[in-house]
Amino acid sequence: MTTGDKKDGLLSNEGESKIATVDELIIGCKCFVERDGEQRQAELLSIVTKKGRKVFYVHYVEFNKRLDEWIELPRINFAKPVIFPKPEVKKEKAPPKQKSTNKKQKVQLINSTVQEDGLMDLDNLNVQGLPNDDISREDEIEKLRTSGSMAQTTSSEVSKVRNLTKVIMGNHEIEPWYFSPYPIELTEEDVIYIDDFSLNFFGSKRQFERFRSKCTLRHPPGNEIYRDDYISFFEIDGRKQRTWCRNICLFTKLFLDHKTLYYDVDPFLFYCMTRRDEQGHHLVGYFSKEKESAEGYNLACILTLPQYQRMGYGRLLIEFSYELSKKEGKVGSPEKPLSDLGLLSYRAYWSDTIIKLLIENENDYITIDEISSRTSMTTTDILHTSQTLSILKYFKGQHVIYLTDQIVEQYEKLKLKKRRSIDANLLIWKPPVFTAAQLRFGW
Amino acid sequence: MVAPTLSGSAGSRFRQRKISTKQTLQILKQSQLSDIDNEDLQQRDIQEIETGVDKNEEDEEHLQKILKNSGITSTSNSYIPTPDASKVWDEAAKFYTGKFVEPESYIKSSCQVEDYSGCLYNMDEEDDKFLETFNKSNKKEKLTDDEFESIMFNFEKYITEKQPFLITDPSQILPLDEIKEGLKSVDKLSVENVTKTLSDELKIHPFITMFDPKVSENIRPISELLRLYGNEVYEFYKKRKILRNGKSVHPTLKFNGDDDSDAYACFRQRQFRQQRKTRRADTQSSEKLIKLYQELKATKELTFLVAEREQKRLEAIQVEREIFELRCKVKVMKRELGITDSDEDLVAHKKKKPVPPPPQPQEVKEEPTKKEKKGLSKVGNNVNTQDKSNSKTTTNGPVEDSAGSDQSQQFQPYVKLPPSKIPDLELESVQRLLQNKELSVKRYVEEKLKKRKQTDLGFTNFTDETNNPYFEIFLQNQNVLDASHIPYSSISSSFFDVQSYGYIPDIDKYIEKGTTANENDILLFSNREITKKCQPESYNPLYSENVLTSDSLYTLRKRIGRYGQVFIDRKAMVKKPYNGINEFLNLGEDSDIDQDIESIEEKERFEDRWKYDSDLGLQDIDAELFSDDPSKLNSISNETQVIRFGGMLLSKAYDTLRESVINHRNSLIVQMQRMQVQAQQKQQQLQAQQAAEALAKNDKNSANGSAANSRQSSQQPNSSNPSTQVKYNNQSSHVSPSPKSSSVSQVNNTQVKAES
Repeated sequence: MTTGDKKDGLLSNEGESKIATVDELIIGCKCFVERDGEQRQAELLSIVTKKGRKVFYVHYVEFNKRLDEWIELPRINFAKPVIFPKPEVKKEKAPPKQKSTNKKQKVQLINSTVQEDGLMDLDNLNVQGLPNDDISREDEIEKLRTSGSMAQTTSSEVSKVRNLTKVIMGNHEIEPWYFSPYPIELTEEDVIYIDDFSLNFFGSKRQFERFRSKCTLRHPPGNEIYRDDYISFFEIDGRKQRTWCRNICLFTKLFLDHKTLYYDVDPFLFYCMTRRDEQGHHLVGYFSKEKESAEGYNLACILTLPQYQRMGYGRLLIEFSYELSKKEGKVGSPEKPLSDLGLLSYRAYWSDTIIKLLIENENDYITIDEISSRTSMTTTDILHTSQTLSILKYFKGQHVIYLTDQIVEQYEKLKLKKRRSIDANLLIWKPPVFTAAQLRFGW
Repeated sequence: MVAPTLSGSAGSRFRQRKISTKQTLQILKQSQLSDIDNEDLQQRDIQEIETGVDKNEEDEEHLQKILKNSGITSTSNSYIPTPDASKVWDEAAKFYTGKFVEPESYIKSSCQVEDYSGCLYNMDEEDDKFLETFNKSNKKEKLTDDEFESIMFNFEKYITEKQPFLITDPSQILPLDEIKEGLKSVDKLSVENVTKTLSDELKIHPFITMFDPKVSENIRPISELLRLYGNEVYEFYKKRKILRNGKSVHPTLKFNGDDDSDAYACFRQRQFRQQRKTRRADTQSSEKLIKLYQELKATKELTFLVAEREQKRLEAIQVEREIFELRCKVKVMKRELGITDSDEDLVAHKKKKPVPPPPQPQEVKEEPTKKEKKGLSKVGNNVNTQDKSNSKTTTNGPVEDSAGSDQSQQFQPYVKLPPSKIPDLELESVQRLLQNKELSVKRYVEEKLKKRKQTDLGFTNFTDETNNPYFEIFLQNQNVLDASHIPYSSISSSFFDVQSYGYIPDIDKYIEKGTTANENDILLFSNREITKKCQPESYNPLYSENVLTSDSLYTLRKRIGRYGQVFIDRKAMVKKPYNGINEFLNLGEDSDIDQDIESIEEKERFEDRWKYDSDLGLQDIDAELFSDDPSKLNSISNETQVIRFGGMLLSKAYDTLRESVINHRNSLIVQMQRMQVQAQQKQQQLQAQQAAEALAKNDKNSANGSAANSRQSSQQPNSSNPSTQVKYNNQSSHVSPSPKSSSVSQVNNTQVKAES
């Protein structure tokens, strides 16, 4: 995609475009910046003078925010025109806010596309439960109070700029992706130390050292509910382990843009995957889950810690979340919005699961409901996946599932790969039951 | 809107837009179908499928590239680039030490991070610098890191608790002395104190839990640390605190952002709808709390017993080990000395099964005979029986407890507590609460009395004795019909007029003997004109017969009728009241003369029968009688009444008495002074006269002087001398306001009776 297409202000909030000088640059304007030998359009999110030199925080258009970065002046291309934001942007934004308080714009439930007789509209698979229109900040906060952990909007200008430069966790040095509300004093530090077990954070190395000398925690502070030769899972109640769960949420926020920390962690359970060594159980990834989800979500946030990414842990986490749903006898779906990485992981899991099920199915017939009950996936997620896989076809007046050679081949490959998977027999877990009083935070 | 879309290949319309989840779908594989069949396959145009990714991010370049490459997964090498996380921090090994032991079973844990973290204050580089220079300059024992942290932690905890709004003015920070004082009061729930109490209760020293770091230095108690290092560390702390503008020394998360858009405020508390408060809900929750409390208590007891048992086991194991080691020594010794008797005492005997409790005395009898041989193995044996009895108590304990709790629960009256206070309250049963209250009232009264005694030094306290002082009481109210009904208990009652008080120092002696006090022993005080010498009457119902007593409300008569029927008649001192039956009979009397005789007879019989059955009456029915003790009317329990009334009575009687005594004395003193002055004046006059007349009339002079002296002596003693007092009393005439001649004496009698 060439960025030049947008030069003439196709977007509504873009105003004047002209060749500009350094001093004319303001927050919100878009200019061309050199990145990896390529000229990309980037929006200036922050301008700070450090030691007499101006540095700019830029967001590359069409790139994920995690690639935003601080740049110095030489990388800005002043030969190309700079697009300035329209001055009266704020006034335009005001009217839709009032509109969105209308009841019509209530968030659709996940099952809204499933009709009473089990009929589903293939043209209108609103799989995601995403609101169609922009939702007002107040409505969103109200919704967050009762359920969910994902925010649609970013709350303020401050949170658009990444506030930490480096965190050290265990023996890994990690570059954060997004803003996270760690104490503001810590943002002045070059590096933040995060304890591998308690997830406590320290700006001071000495403090971290002192803490390490005293701390005896060597596993997530909850009950182990799964253990095989590779990984373990711990279940942690947000209400009982506030400190730990807050810590994990703060850390997660560094890597999940849409996660919100507006409200406390009480309504969530945290399922934490660990790997053991002689030191203890190291957190590898986790997902959180609402104790009671009004919208049928079986997962709220999911994160494989960056130092363990692209090693297949994400799939295990997703698989585990569906194993829990199977034990509960429920179907479930992840809370939206998904991140780009989340979407890819889920799609991979969904398609692999469905293909495996279809090929290994003992007879040649199956219903969507059956797939759903055997996988704990929602029917919408199944149809959604079968559409992306294009396995749902129409043959002689009937819907059929059509598996191409390519798909079968892919399945064979997958079988050879011997991926690790969750052994349901090793899961020692009963779905936790909460009384109305214990769930009162939801109201 | 619902226009069907064209299928790609065949060109025919793909009508079926909807699909049922219950519909059976055939699974077809490409290999199963011929090429022709393939022609018939239709597929809907791939719509733009919603991804669930935020709309603004859906179009991002890397994601789109992957989604377009393959509908399935990123099998290709394309991936979404992320910031670097691959660097390894070399120093990690320095910080992460120790070994983790994996338990066999799945880990279970409910402790919080704070429980694992030791002291929650972690010193930073700045603290380090301070401590280093401090320890260098200080000649005292070195302040260790742990101790320094302990001090700082306590400062920080106390200040955040006491001064949550220190941010508004950091200079207002509490002075050290106040913190010291505050830290003295033990916070029961702090971790250190919980461990301390536990170790005391369980008698395990040192008390180390699995959460404590293995090498924990001996940290001196905070009070001592504050005494030794408090000033310096406080100054340092204060400096840091002010530098931080009153916020916590180390940065913390911001929980309460008032502003919605504050990006750094996080983890706000959800406000939830308040539940409607009802009496029922309150009772329920209080019941729940009581139950919970009791259950927790039982659990605590159980765990304590388990801990005790385990300790005993440990002891047993240690003893067994000792035995084993001793045996080993004996073995060697025997070999060396060449002793070749039986090796029985070297073999570990099978443990005797613990004997059930009843035959235990028998076992004791057997012991001496076997002692020599089994002496060593016995120890283990004993421990075992003890062990069993221990476990017995564990099973018995909760059963008894629950039975007790059931009972107490049944009698729990409803107590309304402010809901905010419920969790903090230690629950107590209402009975105990009332008991405590009563006790404290009693204690209060006793204390008061004690204090009185101290302040009364030099006075005689009449209220110490039950029978002293006694009062001469007169009935004031002329309208009272029957004085015998007046509750005599309250001398302060408006019905009575207290005119004088008598005090007999050794009244007990008289009561014992059953005699009346000697007139000379009686001390009598009065504010007014003293009417007569009032002497208390005492009587012993067993010995004396003719003692004047008040009439009782009614008399009882027992008679035996025909067939051994027993009647108990009550006879009031009053006439039977007028009632309906009488009226009816009277009417009959008037109307028919023939039936007169019969009806009169009947009436008489009737009246006879009812003769003793009424307590009411007197000539005037409308006259208000005394009700029972008025205090009874507001239905206060007897015990409370006693305490309250007794206290009141005592203090009131005492106050009046004391006042009168003081008044009396004062007046006496004044009088005496005046008289002395008078006497002096007279003497002076006399002397002047004497001087004047000395020469003229020598005889008269001597006679006059003696007369003045005698007058003086007769006036001076006044009331302090009983004998003169008696005279004085006898001189005044008796003016009684009573309507009946007997009433005064009656009342007087009852008073004395009550006191004896």
